[in-house]
Amino acid sequence: MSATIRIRGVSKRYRSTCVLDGLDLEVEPGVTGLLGPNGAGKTTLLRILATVMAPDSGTVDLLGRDPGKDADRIEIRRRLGYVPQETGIHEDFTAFEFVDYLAILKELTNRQARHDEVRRVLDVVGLSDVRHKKLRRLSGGMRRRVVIAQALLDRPELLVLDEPTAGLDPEQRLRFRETLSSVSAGATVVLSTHQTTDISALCQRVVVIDAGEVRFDGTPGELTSTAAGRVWVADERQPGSSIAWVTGEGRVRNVGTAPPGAELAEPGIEDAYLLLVGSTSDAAEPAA
Amino acid sequence: MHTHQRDDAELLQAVVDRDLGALRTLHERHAPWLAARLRRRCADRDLVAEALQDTFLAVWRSAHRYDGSGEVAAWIWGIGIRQLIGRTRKRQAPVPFAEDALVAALHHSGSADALLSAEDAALVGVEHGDLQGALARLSPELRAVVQATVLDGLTSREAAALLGIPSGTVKTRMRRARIQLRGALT
Amino acid sequence: MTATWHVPPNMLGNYLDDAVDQPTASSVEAHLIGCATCRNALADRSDPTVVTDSWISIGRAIDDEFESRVERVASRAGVSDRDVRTLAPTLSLQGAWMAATLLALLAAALLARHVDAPSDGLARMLFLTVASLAPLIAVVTALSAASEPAPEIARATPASRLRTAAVRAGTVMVAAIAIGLIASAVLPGGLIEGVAWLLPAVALSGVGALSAGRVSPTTAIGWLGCAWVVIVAVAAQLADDRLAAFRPGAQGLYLAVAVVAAAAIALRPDLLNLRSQP
Repeated sequence: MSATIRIRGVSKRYRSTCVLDGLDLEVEPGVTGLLGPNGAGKTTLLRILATVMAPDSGTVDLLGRDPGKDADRIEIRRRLGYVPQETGIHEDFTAFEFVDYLAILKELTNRQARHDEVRRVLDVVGLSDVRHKKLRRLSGGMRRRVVIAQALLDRPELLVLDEPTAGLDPEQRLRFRETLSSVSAGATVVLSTHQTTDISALCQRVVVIDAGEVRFDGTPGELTSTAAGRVWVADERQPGSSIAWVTGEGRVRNVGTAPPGAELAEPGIEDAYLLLVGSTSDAAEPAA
Repeated sequence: MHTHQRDDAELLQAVVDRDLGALRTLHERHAPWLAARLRRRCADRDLVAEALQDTFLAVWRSAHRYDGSGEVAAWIWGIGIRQLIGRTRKRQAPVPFAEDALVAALHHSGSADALLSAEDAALVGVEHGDLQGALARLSPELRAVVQATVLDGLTSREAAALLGIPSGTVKTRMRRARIQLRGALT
Repeated sequence: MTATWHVPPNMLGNYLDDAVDQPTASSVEAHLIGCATCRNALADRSDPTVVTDSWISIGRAIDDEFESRVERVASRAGVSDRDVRTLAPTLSLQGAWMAATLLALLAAALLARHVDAPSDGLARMLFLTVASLAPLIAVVTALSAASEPAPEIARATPASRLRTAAVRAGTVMVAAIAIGLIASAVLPGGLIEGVAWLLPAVALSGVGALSAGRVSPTTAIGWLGCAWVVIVAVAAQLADDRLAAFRPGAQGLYLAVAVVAAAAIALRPDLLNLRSQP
């Protein structure tokens, strides 16, 4: 499979802060998850992928087109679905009106066909029965699903989702996984999340970003295996561990460099992530 | 998953709050009998289907007008039969009547008290028994008028529209039916 | 009805098949009104596709309706369904203050009618000054992000932002001018003398539109509004004529500004700074 997203040497600065620093990334169809601490540049990268922001330098190629060119950008946007992190939305609209409005902006001009499509995407996220309630009368999780619904309009080839599961309760999160796996066939999906469980459940590929650079790029399984031999349990906090906490069973789970003879534990994707980003940002200060 | 089955009045309240799911449940519960009852009054299946849809559209728009007294089913019937009449009239002459029919339905909400005498009230409660026999002995024309006015709760003008006869005729037939029924019941 | 009696199944079946006599049918119908159990029994025996099809049609019909009053009014005025939805947030945002402006202008016009003795009274000056500002406020607000129901999402759509902005700003500008004209008709001297605010309003709106993409709407309205009030006051002082800023000589200047602004917007729409990055 060939890459549908190609990014070379992309940098972006806000005033004096460098948010992305010569980032290289290629993404193929399927679900790719972005992990990283707050401020790592995930949102900036996703906004570039959604064509709402241009990089300061570097080249971007989306679906074989250059978002820097007017005609290309419009063509990309026709095949794009975008869920931004923060959505200041007009809450006087009903769910139906809101999605219908975005369907209009997505150039679905025929009214009947457009309404059929709006009904379809609202049904996919399970909101058919409340579609005529005003957005301000819906719960936060439902509003999030309305925003997800509009991203599915017209079956996009490129889906950019910035923390789509934020604000969803556990059941809604499971439903979202179901939704995503039903719509993502053949499409390129890039999502960011703070939920490592989302990554292992949803993504074929995970990219860890920290301080504007790619720190890891591989399958969730490969990420987990980077923590092999570095997670162990003991009765108390051990020297050599960068992070340690008391688990539900009352023992201390240590993540870091295991001392010889330590009782090794099965690593999780979370452990691997902590080791990866903890070694730069958090390692300076001793873990509490 | 719903542990609490909402009753019809609660569903209507939810419809006021723009809950389409509540309307769907009301439609599931009430569309079958309403369709069956309307079909007995109008042979045109398409017309009945349209009246059925208009009825629930009217419920969607006007659920706030249900005053909480009386059976929701009776209220819905009041709307349904008038939507059918409106549709029938439209077929005969292109007069925009649906809106009037709706207003009339809402003002009458599900009862025909205005027309009911004591004997008629007894008739509304009829389930089975002697009264059936009395009704059965009426001529078909008189029976149709009794049904439209007493049992369906229509005004004589609406009954006239449904039956396709002048409203003066509805009134005289109703008088004759009353006399015959009174004779049969005493 | 505390019905311990229920319609026997075969009678229900016959009723549905139209195979019962009229009195029996009437009893069944009277019973059904009060008995949910029998209504359900009837539903179980009816053709489910009738209910399913009926529900699909009802859902479509409800979706096709315009639920908000603003949208119904706009739709009745002949606006296409796409533009109705594009305009709805702008109109609901601006409706309230426009109504208030209309009342304020009418009050000023009545005041000019009954209190101002000469035709160059204070109330007329106030009226003309406020009437010239209304279209500016309308246009700048319509071009601001506040009018966009979902700014970040809308930017990632292929729709032309220029078209959307033109629909919104054009509509509210027409509305604001209409409000001014209605109030002007009440002014003594009538429409002809009353519309001296029109050219200043168009000039201010043009400048406001060009500044909308660069500074916040409050900044744009604030500065231009203050500048306009100062111009009116200074002109009145210098010429010893309250309406100096609205006399024919000054009107020529506003016409020039309006033409330049309109030409700039028409020839270089990118000056509006609406174009999405990159």
